[in-house]
Amino acid sequence: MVRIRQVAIGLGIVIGLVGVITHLSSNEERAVKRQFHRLSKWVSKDAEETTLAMARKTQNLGWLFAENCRFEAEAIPLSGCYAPEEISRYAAKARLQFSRLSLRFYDLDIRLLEGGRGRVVATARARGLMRTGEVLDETHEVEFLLEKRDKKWFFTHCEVIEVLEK
Amino acid sequence: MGVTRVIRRFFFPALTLRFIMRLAIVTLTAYLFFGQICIPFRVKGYSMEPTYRDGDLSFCWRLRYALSPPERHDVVAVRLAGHRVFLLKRVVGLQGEHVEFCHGELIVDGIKIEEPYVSGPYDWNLGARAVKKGCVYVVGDNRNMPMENHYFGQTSVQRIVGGPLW
Repeated sequence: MVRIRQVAIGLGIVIGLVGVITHLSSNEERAVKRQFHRLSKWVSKDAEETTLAMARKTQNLGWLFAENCRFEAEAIPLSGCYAPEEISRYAAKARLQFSRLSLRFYDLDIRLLEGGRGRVVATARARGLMRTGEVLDETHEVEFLLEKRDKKWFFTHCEVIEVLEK
Repeated sequence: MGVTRVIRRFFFPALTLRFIMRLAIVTLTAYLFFGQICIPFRVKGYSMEPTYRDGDLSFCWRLRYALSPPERHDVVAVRLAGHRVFLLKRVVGLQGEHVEFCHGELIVDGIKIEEPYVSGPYDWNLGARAVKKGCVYVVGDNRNMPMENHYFGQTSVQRIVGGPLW
């Protein structure tokens, strides 16, 4: 019994140490993750969303992006550089086509680079129901570049990685 | 009385050090085996019909190409995003070869390739394209769908994570 208690105490100490180290070392990573959480929250919409909520979400969405954020995606004709206001406008237009929409990010691989920059490769899954009745269910690997300005992280580049090239 | 005791001990084992060690080893082994070596997956979509149908269950054997590269007609799992999303496709062209579809026939380096796994005639036409170094050309078995809606093409061998067990 004594040995089990010792093992349990030992395990507790190890877990505690790992927790403290993780907490101290990944404040920036958590800040980056929070931006993805916000992006996901503000892109997603449910069927009962009001016009006011939609306006607030799309406006907030623009604030996540830096001036001249670059988008690259072969599948959709939207590649180019956009200002935050343009992103808000496009997002509002795109969201109107959906009665339900959800965007989730998985497997975030966050690399913090020098000079307040970060590179994140993530799995993005978009699911939704269009007003036309069409169902959207797309999964892609997406690469993001972020920059830290005034203690906040902004998206500067988003690229949908094409796995197969016809 | 003895049987009841055995059953009770089976479902509510004493928390001995030996039991905890055994539990830890079994959990770790299962996690490594089913998380890294033999990953369970469910087929979603129709691009590999009739070989694999929507909803089929299988395992991705990640050691399949540990010692040898993929060969023509192999079904491979291509990493689409993150660690959990794969594309299931069949290799039809290897690096340096020229792949084309002509009136529903697969032509590689000018030679018609028999594809017994494809059901029924199809009418795909795609000009010849060279498979780049370090890449393979992959296509799904379901050629009855329009070519424009079928996601296929060349991909890096490095993206191939294994093959299905069955």
